Amino acid sequence: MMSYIFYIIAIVSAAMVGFLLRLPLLPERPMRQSWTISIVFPTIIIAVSLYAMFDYFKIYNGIYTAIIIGVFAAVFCRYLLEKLVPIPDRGDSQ
Amino acid sequence: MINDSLNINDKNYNRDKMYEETIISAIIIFIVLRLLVTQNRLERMPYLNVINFGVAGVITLMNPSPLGAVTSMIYFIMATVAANAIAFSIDKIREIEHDTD
Amino acid sequence: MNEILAIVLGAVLSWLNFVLIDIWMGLPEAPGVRGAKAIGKSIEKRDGDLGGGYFSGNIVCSPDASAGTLLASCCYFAFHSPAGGLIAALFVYFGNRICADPGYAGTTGALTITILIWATSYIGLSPQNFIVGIVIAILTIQGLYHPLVSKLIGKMARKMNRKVIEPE
Repeated sequence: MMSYIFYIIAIVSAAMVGFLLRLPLLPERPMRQSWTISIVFPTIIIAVSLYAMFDYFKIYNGIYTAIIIGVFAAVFCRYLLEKLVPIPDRGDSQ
Repeated sequence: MINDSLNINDKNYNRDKMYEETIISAIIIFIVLRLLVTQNRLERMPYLNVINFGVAGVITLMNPSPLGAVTSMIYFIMATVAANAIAFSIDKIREIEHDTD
Repeated sequence: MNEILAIVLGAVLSWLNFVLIDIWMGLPEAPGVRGAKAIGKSIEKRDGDLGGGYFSGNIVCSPDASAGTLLASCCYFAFHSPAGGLIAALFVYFGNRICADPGYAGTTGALTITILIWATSYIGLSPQNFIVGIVIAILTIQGLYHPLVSKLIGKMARKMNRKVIEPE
């Protein structure tokens, strides 16, 4: 149970850095059709998943890793996510 | 974890998964036969999707390791992309045929 | 717990998880991509419901909560801990983005099924029951008889206030 605290630390760190980088908290309504990158989705999800990978394979799990992964997730979502998986134009028949 | 009854070091210890393997095998065989019998191309797409689900499940059931999980994920996502391309092509061909009629 | 009862319970929970989340995320409303529209119209032509047809078409053509449920339970099974479900959520999110989908349905499905598997592990269910459960669930939706199931999905969608949106 004690190791679950590090997930909370990763979430808090990602949320704080995301707030500093001016990411919105929630996507616009209606939530299911908006493409905006927000703190709750996907920043926290990426942070928790990356920390779970590091935790399972035992690569430096601990408080510093959680904080670094939170920061990385927020920075990645703010700057790199759009370049990696671009938003398709609306009305595109793919 | 609470339910750690699998002994993953011994791959022949299949008793915990016996029912699951039987059920998934039966489902896959039934759907493959049904797929071969169906003529309508667009009706075949959901059957293909069921087969993708079954095979992705079998990959992980037979290999309870991180490699099995990652293989299953990559296979399933690529199978979905392929099914998307097939459905798009069928629709486009029908549109082209109706336009040139 | 009896093995057959465990599989049945896993199937029911997986079915509820992916159908409710998909309907709530608006899958029966509109086809996400062109292939989904074709499949939906083909099911409607065979005396089905258009909302249910779009639902099946969207399941085939892009990852949604059913894909999230399957991959999260596979990863939970392989990693022997809820960390597997969390890792699956990342892959499902990127898979969704590759298929031109915002990614809400798949990731939500993966996270909720991870919580469900963890909660029912105290009763005696294990992740392999959920793996075979989601395969049985998708068999009932897409492998048995499309028009009848599409009408059921359409009825559930109208009850949850998700009608088919007519294109302008």
